[in-house]
Amino acid sequence: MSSFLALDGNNEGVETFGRVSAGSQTHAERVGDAFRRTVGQTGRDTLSVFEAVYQTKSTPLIFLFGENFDVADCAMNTLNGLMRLTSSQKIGGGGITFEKVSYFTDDGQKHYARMIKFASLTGEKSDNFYKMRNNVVHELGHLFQIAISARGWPKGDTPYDKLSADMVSDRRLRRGTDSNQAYGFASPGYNLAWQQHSCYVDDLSEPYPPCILSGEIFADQFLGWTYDAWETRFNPITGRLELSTEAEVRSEWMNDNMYRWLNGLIEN
Amino acid sequence: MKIFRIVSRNAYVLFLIISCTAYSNPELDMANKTALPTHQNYSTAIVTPQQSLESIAPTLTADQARSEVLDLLEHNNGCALPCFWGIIPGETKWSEKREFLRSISSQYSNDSDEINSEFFFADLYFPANDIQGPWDLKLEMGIHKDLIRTISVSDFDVPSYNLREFLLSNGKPDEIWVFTNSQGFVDSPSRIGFLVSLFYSQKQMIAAFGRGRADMLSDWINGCIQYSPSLNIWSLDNPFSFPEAANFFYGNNIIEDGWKKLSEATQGELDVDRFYETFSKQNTEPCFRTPKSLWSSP
Repeated sequence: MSSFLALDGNNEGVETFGRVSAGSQTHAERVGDAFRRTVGQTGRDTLSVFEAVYQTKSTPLIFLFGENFDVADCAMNTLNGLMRLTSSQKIGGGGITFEKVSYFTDDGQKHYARMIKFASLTGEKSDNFYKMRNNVVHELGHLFQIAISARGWPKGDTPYDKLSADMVSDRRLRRGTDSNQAYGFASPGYNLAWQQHSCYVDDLSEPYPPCILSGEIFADQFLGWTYDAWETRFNPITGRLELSTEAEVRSEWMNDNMYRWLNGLIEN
Repeated sequence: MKIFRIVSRNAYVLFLIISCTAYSNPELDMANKTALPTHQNYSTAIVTPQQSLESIAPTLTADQARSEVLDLLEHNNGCALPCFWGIIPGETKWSEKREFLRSISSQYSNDSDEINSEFFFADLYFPANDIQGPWDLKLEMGIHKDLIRTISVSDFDVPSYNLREFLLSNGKPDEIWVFTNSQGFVDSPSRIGFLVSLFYSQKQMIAAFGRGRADMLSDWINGCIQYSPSLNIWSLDNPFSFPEAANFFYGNNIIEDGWKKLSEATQGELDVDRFYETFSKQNTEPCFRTPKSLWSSP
């Protein structure tokens, strides 16, 4: 079993998903490259660092793409042929689910895999490859939280918990509900490119929409950190675009904490 | 990523003060809030908002600071936009406001050594109220040689800034721009964000209502303006058009992103005049419809 697999359940005519699906390894490599840079292991290849962090050798990572869940499930049939799936446990919701699946190998051994099923992607209808790609990387941010938790990281120091605690003391790490604002990310909320889960997508009548909570903020920060893409503003004296205050704080927070987490994950 | 495509890199080099009229009651004092004028009598008052800001004691508890901020939001320190809390872009010096603003802020940071920097951004956060309750208002100022040139305010919600009050206080905007999408999301297929920005060319000001919601109907999207807007106010050498200002402050190209002028967005059902008449002078819910076919998918 490969440690990384991307399957597209759509018909051949649906090219948008196909391109994102086909590019999945590239997206994973980009994330792996960000990991590698951070821990200073530039001698290692990116996919091996990705594998070490997400443990994809022992728990393969599967992306399933479909324009809806029915179509994504079509890809499951293909997958069944490959690895004889036995059960699937959904651990997420919405248009994208995170699932833990079990399967048997030819020698009768039971194994587990992680699956991210994409039934919708930002930018899919407008054929915006970068938004779709960013959606995939955003979800890898959520998966990073899952990977850390699965490795028994102390509660309170996982990405969501750490960010949630730090948001209390530092306002600059929070995200408000205004879709015109960038809040340190590289695009305003309504644009959805670099705030994949901005408040533009949430019902603001909820007491606490996910967009203002640490989980979605971390996943968007993970995206910005992977591509080093943050909000900038123009300094007329230097003539340069410089990071906004919130961008600087988010970037530093990610650099500091990802360094800690990644070293811990790779050493173990 | 933010790229300032439209705004010239020389935009700040020559600062000119645009016409900026601020009003206050000469007796206005933060310690005597009952003397604050309502927006109806601003037009007869005279300017000195700065003095009253500095009269505040610098040591405040969080509750006192919140109270001061809410009072400033309600009464704007007796001046009228584009004067904000007594700060007039292009006229007011940072050194005059610094201590007071910091005394009521919950957090302050800037992007450089402000003593030695010719230009820097100051970011202050204040205890205020927003749509989920207690929250921090953000005030960002671009400061050139101690002169405050740009003001951006966001993340607050008070009745004095709802659409009707805002129109009554500030008059008819010169342009109104709209943004939404033709499709909802998997989690909420019939609901989506709805953004409306009011542009005042003389005041060089944008009020952007960025938290509206729209319902998807069969051929139409019915959008409603909600909550208080964010504000951008500036005094620069060249007057900005709305796309230039949006590019400068938000770093996005609104034309590429698909923003549309109100009359186009409503296919002529609403223009600026009718919008102003409808939503300022009648107690009408600030909602209007736009054809779904005009908008792309997110």
